[in-house]
Amino acid sequence: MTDTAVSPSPSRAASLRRPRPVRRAIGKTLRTAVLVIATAWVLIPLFFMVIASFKSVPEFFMNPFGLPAEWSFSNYTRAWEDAHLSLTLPNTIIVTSVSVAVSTFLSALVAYGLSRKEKKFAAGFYTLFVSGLLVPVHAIILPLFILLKAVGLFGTLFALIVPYIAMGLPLGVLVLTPLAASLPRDLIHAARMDGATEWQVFRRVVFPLLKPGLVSVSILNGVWMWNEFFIPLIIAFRPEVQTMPVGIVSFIGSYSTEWGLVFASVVVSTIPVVIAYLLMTRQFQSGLTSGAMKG
Amino acid sequence: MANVSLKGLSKTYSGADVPSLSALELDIADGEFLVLVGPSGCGKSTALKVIGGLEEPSEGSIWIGKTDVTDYESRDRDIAMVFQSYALYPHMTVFDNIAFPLQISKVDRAEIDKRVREVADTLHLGTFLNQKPGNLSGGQRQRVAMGRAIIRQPSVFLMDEPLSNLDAKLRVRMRSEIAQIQRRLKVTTIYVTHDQVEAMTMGDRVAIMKGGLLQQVASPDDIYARPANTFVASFIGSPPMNLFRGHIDGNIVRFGSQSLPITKESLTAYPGIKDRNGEVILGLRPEDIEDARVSDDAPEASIEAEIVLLESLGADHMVHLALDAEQVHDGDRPAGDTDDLDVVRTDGVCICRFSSRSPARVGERVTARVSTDRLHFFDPETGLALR
Amino acid sequence: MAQRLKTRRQRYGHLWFVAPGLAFFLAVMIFPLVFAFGISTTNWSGLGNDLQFIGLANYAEILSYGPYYRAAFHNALIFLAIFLFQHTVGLYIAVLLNEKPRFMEFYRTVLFLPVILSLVATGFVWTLMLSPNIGLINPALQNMGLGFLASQWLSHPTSALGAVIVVTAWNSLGWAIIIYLAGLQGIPDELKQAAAMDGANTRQIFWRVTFPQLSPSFTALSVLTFIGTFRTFDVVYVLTGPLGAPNFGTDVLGTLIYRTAFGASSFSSAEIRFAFGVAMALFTMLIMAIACWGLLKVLRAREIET
Ligand SMILES: Nc1ncnc2c1ncn2[C@@H]1O[C@H](COP(=O)(O)OP(=O)(O)OP(=O)(O)O)[C@@H](O)[C@H]1O
Ligand SMILES: [Mg+2]
Repeated sequence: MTDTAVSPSPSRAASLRRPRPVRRAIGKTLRTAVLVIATAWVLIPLFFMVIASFKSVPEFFMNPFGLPAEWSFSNYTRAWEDAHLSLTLPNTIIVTSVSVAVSTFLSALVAYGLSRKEKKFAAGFYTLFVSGLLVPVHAIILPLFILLKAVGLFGTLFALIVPYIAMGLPLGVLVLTPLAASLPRDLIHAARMDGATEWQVFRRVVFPLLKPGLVSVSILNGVWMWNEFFIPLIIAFRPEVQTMPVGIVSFIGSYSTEWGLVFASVVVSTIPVVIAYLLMTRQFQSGLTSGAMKG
Repeated sequence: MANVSLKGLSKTYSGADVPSLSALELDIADGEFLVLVGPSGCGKSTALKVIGGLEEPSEGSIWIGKTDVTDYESRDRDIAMVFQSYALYPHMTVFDNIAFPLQISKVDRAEIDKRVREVADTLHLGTFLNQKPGNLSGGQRQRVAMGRAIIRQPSVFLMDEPLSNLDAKLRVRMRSEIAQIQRRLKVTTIYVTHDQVEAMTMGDRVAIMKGGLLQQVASPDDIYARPANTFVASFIGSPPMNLFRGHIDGNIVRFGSQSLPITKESLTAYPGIKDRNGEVILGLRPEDIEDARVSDDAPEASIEAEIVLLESLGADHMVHLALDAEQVHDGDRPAGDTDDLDVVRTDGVCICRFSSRSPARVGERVTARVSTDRLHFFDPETGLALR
Repeated sequence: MAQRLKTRRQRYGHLWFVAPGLAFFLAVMIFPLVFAFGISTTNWSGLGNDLQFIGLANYAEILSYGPYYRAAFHNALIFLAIFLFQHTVGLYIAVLLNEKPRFMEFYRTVLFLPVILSLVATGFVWTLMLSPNIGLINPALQNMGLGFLASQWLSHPTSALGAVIVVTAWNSLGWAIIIYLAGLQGIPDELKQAAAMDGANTRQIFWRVTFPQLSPSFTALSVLTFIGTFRTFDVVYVLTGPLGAPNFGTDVLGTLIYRTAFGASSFSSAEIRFAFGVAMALFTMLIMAIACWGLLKVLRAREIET
């Protein structure tokens, strides 16, 4: 696999011995084949998951991997009601969107504060924030539980939002700080000369220019917050404040052979992230290109 | 209005062991156009940043009008700055870029609209107002940067090499546009450049810096005619002044086997050479040496030497004469700094600007007439003019 | 017009920009971490009030605790496999995508999808795929005449660990592609063209020009993979349960710590040792921090050379 990895590069034209057309065609076919196989590997499980969600129980066991003879939406209606998706979906949306928004914004503030390299505190704080990526959730979950209970957030959606905001910071700071540091200093100087306060410099110049990075951070943090299972399992077990992953798993405990039902709820819980990703995929890529690689 | 005084301004960047700016004393009159020139790295941008409040001075103070603004924020100094990189906000349209300073200070919309359009008219930007800076040419971006500076009607302009990213033709045009705008607005301006043509043509006065130290401040004519030291002498002028070690002997100055009389004019301009018998540095501008065959009257003073190189520039010839005198270099003149010529100097070469009527040819020995009323004399120890 | 400043320090109050984030960070990450360290110096089981200060005894015990090494070894195997996979297959696919084939956007988007899929979804999908009775893999093998390869995938220690690796690879391939693609897109074409002018062939161009330029991507991806595989929990939990079944063949640090601290259904509550679990988590964090630091140092040094 590695050895064949060396035949890329568009500048083939400059090489003296052009590969003969036949060899080129074979090479091209092989490369396409690799892409198709990889894509199939990713897509086939997802495809069967979606297919299965439209099958009734007997049909699933008769024919787990064929197309359904009859497309049934009953799994979806049952998931919506019995799995409490009607309750946990709004919860998940609120928790994720608020946490993402606040966490990304705070990350941008921190990134701007730390991007001024001449300040002595910057390097230390940067390391501190980024090493947050290593903090073991299993170790801090109990103190966190106690803390949230003590300040009275337990039992509300804030019990998830507050930790998520903090836990989104390491990634946000990691991606945004190099991006903020790479903004031309003259731009910031110009804004100061134009009469802007430090806050206005941030709000009017720095923040808009961080946009690609903000999108990347929002997607990356949003995805894990949306999908997080362990933290809400411990901290938000009451149905009113439950998020979808926990809701689905606790619901499935009693229906585990009803694959159609299981996959219907999984599909519902997945679709919003996929849509968000599809909408922002281009900016997501460019944010990563400009930010993370330099960190 | 606003005169600017810099009092003992010094700046040493943290981590640096030499100051980038030392004890700068400068008074700039209200409405004056002061050009700050010097070789790369001499501290010009540092000076501007300190004046603009983007860097804190290590010592000294900055006064605008009757106010000590040393501890003021940039935004409170009523100064506008044009950056070498233009520093246009890439995410805003031209309109918003120009309007930004007004939007920040909460001027009302109608007023902003009116003023932006006025400024856009002056700068011929009317048709670009809705474009983003990324779509503009270098010259247009430069004008947007100017627009953003003038819209506030500040009391001081700072400009850091605003033309250095433009091509030669555009630079000439913008040079006069900026000078005109400044004359019309009468705003005190400090203009940084390392281009001596800009320095000589734009400024009311020129300040020359080297290694963080101010060398001389004077009108362009004065700088050219009466340089304060060998550095200024060789920095201004293209090709630069020829400097030789010489010896004063009564009323004659000898250098190598050549000698020239010391005239009344020389004594007036350089009183320091009166009764001074001994070593000096003698300065000769290329423009003050001419082929003796070209002028009609008999030369009252001349040098004689072989032509080793001749470059014809159309209007005149650059002639290199081999002299046996010891040449003095002021090593800080950066290579490539001259605009029209890039002269490599070797020891014992005197560059002269002969008129194109001169029949001079390489290899021949010529008699060159020297305008002895325009000789320059410097102390060989300190390099200072002998005044 | 202006207010005179009392002190120069106030001029750039950038600490204020850091403050709100820092407040959250201290409250939610640092304070619980310190708290957790306090717990780890006791013998608290997690239930009841029976607790004694025992100093660093928990940490000393880790050093001779067999299951810890076994779990760490499994993590290391997963790391190695994923590391190799990403820097070969992932890099190759990124290179292919960088040539802008037809449907490039489609491939890129699809290949990243597993990254954004939840552990719940991943877990259920792959449990189904690997299921011996109704799964897809075994029937497919049989149809290809490879029926002898069919297996109770998740019931043999080796194949179960293999399954964990395959699913982890499935889940993280998107990362490798997107990070390498970001790196590839940052390489100026002139560089490759210049090398081509100098007579380099495509193979040489890749290894001499393109690959060295990808060092930052290599570094970022390696560190991410390291952190990801040594913290892995979800995939194992969903596929083989908190015990790292079968017979601890897929037990990793994440599951070991989880069941030590919180118990697993087949564990009796007497076997729960919360403080010891926390100690293992913190100890692991420390080792990982040191390893990351070393990894970054080595990889960054390499970046400068090239
Ligand atoms: N932020 C900084 N930190 C440390 N040293 C600096 C900093 N900025 C400039 N210097 C140093 O200060 C000296 C003066 O720099 P400055 O930018 O003022 O030069 P300049 O005259 O504007 O040169 P140029 O014509 O190249 O723009 C240089 O030696 C430079 O290396
Ligand atoms: Mg400069």
